[in-house]
Amino acid sequence: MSGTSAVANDGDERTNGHDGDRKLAAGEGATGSADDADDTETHQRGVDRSPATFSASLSLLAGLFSVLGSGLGVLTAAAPGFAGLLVLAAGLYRGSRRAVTGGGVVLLGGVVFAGVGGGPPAGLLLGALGALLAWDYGENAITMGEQLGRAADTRRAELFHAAASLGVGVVGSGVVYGIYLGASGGQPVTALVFLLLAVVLLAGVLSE
Amino acid sequence: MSTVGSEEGTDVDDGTATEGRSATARDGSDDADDREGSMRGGVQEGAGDGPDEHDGDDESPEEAERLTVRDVLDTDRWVGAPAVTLLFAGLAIVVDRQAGLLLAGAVGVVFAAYAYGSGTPAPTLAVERRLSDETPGPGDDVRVTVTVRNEGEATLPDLRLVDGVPPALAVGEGSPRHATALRPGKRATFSYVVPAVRGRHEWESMQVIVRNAPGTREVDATVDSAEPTTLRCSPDLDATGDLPLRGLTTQYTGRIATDVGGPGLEFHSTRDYRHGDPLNRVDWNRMARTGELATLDFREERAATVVLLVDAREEAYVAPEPGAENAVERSVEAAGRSFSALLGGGDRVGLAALGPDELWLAPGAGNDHRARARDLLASHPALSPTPPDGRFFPSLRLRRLRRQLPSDAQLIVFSPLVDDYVASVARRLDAYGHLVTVVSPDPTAGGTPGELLARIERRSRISRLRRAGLRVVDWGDEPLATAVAGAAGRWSG
Repeated sequence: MSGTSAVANDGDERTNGHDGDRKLAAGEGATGSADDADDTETHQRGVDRSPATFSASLSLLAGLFSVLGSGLGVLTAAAPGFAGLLVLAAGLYRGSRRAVTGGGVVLLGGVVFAGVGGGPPAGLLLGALGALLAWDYGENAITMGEQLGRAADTRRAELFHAAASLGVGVVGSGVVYGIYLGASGGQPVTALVFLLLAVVLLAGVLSE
Repeated sequence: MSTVGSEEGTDVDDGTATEGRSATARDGSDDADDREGSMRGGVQEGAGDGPDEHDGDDESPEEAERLTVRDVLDTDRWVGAPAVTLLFAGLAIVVDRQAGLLLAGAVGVVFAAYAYGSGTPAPTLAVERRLSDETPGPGDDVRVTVTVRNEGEATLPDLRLVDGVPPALAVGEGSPRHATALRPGKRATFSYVVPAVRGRHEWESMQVIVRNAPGTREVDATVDSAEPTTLRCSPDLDATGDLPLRGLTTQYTGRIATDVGGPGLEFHSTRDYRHGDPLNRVDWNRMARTGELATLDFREERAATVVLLVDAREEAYVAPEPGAENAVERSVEAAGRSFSALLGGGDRVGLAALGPDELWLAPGAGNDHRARARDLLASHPALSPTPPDGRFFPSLRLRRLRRQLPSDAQLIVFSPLVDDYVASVARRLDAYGHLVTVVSPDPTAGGTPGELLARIERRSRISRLRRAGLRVVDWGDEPLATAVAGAAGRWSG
């Protein structure tokens, strides 16, 4: 009888295979965004769920810019930057959100390193912007892969997302840099820190 | 070629980044409390303004789309951005008042503000699905073209779509998923190919995930197309392979040679002349030789009443390997062919299924009957290409089947014979006097010991049936006609 069930199982699998396709067609939307990707992945055969290539390559490019920015004044700061880039690449290859975030953090570490070493403010700004964008694109690539898979055409949404983030980042950093240039009249850094803190809190309050 | 992602409006004007931001800013204004309303606003509207936006092809006017929001959630993207800022700011104080670090940290604020400032998108979408062929034959490739239109006022910066492909259909080429960004009034089109499978397949709602530009808010919704999309795929009832029937017949003339002497073609016997025998059956040779009158009897040819019984229980949905045709599919195909062949031969043929859903087509003849059978075989839920959900009550079903069966009906049972139930049903019906022939598509594989065991069990089940006097066609990979011819060589009478 156990043999019979073996056949029956085969058939079940087959029908599940079919069914699975439906589930992934229907059900994954609900789950995709959250971290239960592992859960969905095991059920869904036949769909390549690795991160979207376009966003992934953009992420690496942004990471490279970050390394460039941190290495601009302090060459040694490029070392942790490159390490971050490697972690990022590994995370993108394996589709691991944690690794991508880790890579972003290490990239930021490179920026800190450069900052402590006395790197030029513009370089640090570029480094931080690159690191955040690298994480943003990388995370988006993973989500896109989980929700839609690599076979789907996701180029336009990825492009839009990337452009929006880049635009916001570039304009925002430009404004920040402009303020910095205009107001570098010897204000105590501590005062500026509190100013920043106030902005963060204000933004948080306004969003509620 | 895989998915086509062509959007009208990709080419036109302004930069995407600024567009995205202005859109999200607009979104931000109708925030939390307003959200429900704006969602519901998405449920209808746009009924009137559809047609004029079309660029003049043959579409029918779109009707109000149906979008149901299932969930709105925070993705927690960018929650770390303020932390980055504070970290850098703190370090800037600790490390000798480095203004550069502070500057770098300010990027975090930018993204935090970007994330906080973006509201929840309120999608209003219209979906239209077109099939290249709505009534294909089995195995034909059907291209499904899906058009999604942003009917709302705001740009949807991140729209992820997963089409509701019917469960029984597997996508062959292209992908039923698509991601795009859509400005108001613009459309996105993508397409994929499904090989048609027998049955009536209705598309389910399309899954939609709409995110705002920074990806912090996510709306999870489903959209139905204005008209339901249905694919109907009927098997062609081409009659291949005469399935030899057994001796149980009706009183009507047909093509089964019986053991009853009478008018016919094949010689049966001679007997004494009885008054009233037709002249053309008098044995004149014998008359000339001996002077006695004798009458020739031929085997009478009669028609049979046949009921085709398809095993469609959950257990019968088995296949030798994932992706292969399951036994129920093969059974239905064989039943279709036999149906046609038998009907063509003048027999009365009916249909029944062993499964949770009841299927009964009383034996009959004629073109209407053929059309009805074709329809049932194509799309009756009892014979669906995917396993049934309901519960199956074996004894109840059998009792009802016995009541329905005409007393002179013989049965052809289509079953993979993967468990003892159908074998016992066949033997019981045979014992009740309905002569039974079993056509058994072989679903077993020979890879693992378990599979081998299942194969051996099935074989012994078949030989037990044969010992009990039932005819069994063990149908492997070869065409049905070959299997029948092979098995029929062993049959007698």
